[in-house]
Amino acid sequence: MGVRNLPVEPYGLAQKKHPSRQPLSWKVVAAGVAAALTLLYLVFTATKASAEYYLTVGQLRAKGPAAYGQIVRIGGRAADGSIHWNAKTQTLRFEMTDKNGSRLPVVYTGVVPDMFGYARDGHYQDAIVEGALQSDGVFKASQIIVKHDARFAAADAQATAQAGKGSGGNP
Amino acid sequence: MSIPSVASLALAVALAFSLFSAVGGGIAHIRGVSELRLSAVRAALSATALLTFCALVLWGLLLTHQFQVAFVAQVSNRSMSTRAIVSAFWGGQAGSLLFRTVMLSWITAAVFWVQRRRESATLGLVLAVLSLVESFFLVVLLTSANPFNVLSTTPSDGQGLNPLLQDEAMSFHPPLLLTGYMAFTVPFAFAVAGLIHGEMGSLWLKALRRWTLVAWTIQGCGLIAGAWWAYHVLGWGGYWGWDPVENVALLPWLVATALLHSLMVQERRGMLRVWNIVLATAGFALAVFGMFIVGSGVITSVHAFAESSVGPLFFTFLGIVLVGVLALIAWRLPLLRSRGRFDSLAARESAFLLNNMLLASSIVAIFWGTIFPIVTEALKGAKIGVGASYYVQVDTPIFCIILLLMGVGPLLAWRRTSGQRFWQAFTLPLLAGGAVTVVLLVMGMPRGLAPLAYGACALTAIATAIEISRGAQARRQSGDGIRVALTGVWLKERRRLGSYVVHFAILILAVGVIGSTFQQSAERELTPGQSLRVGSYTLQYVGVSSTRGTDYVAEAAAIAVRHNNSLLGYVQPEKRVYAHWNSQPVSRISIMTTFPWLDDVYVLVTSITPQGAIDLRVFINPQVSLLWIGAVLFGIGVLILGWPARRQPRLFTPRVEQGSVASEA
Repeated sequence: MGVRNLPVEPYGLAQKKHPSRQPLSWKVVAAGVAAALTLLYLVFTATKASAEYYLTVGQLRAKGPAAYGQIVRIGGRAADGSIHWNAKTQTLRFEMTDKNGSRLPVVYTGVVPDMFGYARDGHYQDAIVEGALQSDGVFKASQIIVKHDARFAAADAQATAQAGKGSGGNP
Repeated sequence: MSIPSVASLALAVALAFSLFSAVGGGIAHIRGVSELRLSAVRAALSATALLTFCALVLWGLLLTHQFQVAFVAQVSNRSMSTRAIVSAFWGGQAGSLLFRTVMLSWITAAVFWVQRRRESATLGLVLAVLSLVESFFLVVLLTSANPFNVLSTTPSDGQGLNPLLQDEAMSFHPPLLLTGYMAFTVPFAFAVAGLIHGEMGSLWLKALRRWTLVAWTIQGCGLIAGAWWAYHVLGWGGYWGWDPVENVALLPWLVATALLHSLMVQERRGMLRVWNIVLATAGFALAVFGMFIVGSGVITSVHAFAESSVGPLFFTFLGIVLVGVLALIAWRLPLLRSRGRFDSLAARESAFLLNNMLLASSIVAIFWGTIFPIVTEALKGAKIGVGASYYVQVDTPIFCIILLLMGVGPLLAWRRTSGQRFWQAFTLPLLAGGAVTVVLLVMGMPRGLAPLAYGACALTAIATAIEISRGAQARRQSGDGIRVALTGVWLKERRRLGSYVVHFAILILAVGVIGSTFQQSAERELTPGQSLRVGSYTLQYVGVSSTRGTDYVAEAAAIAVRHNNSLLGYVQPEKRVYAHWNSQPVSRISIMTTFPWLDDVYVLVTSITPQGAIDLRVFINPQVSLLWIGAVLFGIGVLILGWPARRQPRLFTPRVEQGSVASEA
């Protein structure tokens, strides 16, 4: 019972010596709130600025002219035999297709990812193209990402992401 | 009985052992039965042995081409090199899960081995928690991703791995990251054990710090190895792309960074105790989340495995962990009361608090960006993602302030800093930082964050150097010569010195990152003799030659690199065709680091025509080589930090726990 009378808490004593110094917890809270608000603002504006829709070919088609010029990511794969590469102009043309068979002509200028044109069982790899639909109905891609199926997708963290990243998509 | 089914059986027995270890260890701790405690430890070690056996079996199956095993047929084939087959172990979901589980079991054994003489109060519980997590992974392995499953018909050859994944880096980058992910289980286990035990003393704190440092180091090495791989193999000119799977690997590392700093506040001032438990849990939860992202395909990432059934299992596990820890914290809240308070904003602990707020902000921001597609799909029915620009926009200012704080923090004293002493120490760094910024602006660097960030780096570098020399001076005044003084700092204040070396390493990394934002690039079709100009470099295409490797044929283009007309040397990017991947040539990048400018001339050939014309793509990446130098320095710093101290007889503070352990031994 005697223990209770002992100063168990050394900092308790220190604070008694300086009664004028109030704990600064409110300053800490204020700093925290300020930081949180700044973060919220940063996140909000950045999210708005860089948001992009992930659509399938069919979903983009369904949007019609509303999709012109809007930056989107389209998932699907190149239709069989549709890939044409012009080395002179460094231009790649192909048609994206999805499970339901919708088609979308795509044009892309730049380096084509190594695995893009690799066909297995007669089909090309699944891919994601980033870019915008132009008013002529052709999708202008700024980046091509090749999706690998399970056996390519090692449990690594970095590599295959950029494996697919066409260098054309550099910020 | 076939070998694969023996291995499956071994997995099942390992599950039984680790479940027994988890439950038995828990009961032993609560009831205080020492025999049970001993057998729980033995069960955990037996599980380690069994899992090691399973790993060896899988390697054996891979190397002897047992294609009747589904996993072997999936990730390997006869034409792959032995090195590539060895690393095919983690080239698919089932194998990488097994690898993680094996690593966790080794980590469990290591925790037992290292801690058994150091901390006895919570060790039993720690091992129980580790065994419980191990049991979860074994359940996932046995129910949905068993690498020993056998096919009904044996294919004549396997499918094999993508040539990009057969690179040398496959041998160390994925295993490092997978081990790093698992290592975050240990700080979590100490947090849970401390909460249940109800006493979190200085030995517990030391152990928590030690194992956080271990996880942080392994994950850090894994991240930098991944950056290295991406940069040297993949040919898009960068090393980090803010891909979801990269993000989820970075998140636990950032959490551990925060925890290593806030633990010092708990150590010195007895504060931030709940926060530290939260961070230890968050590190583990984010590691599990990372594995869940990789395993489930919920987020569009090229890394992600094709959709599989392990996602829901991970998600359930994550939920149980979070709810469980919250309940434990609520139960033990009276024990977690802060023992001190923040007296002044100009104090070391306040700097650490700010550091933690900033790191937490970056973690929240990156996490938000990563899960944004899931959130929008749930709320709006449309998947909306954020691009790399989101992360750049949000994280650049945060990381710049953290850099600055890295210099200011160590100059502040604990509890309270007198203004005079602070300015005495801070004037020189501030002037140096300001000077660097001004000089860069005068030299014509575009206005923006870069000159400021370089200034912050200079400030922090000077401040850190001052701190190191201060320590040496203090010893010199006590009569030692300068050499003795410097080595004195080495020996006596290993931890402080180590952390400053790590700070220097981070600074060098930061300079590399800032420099790499000034990337320049160009691409063109060239015939022999023609050249391409990028920045102050001229690249002239000399000609093409054919070479042959073990399992590929290559065409190599020779390219002369000139800087302002003086020849620096040649680079030889290649286009390789692997025997098993006929249709698809793979680019082999060639990089030249120029001195003294430290620019990387990063060259790849995207196509070679039969007539000998090439499509050349060139990136000039300033200062990227600093990333690898920083990484080496990081390793040195961590070695200094974590090198086990020679145990000296403690004359003044004979600790009760140590005494009791010593008498046991």
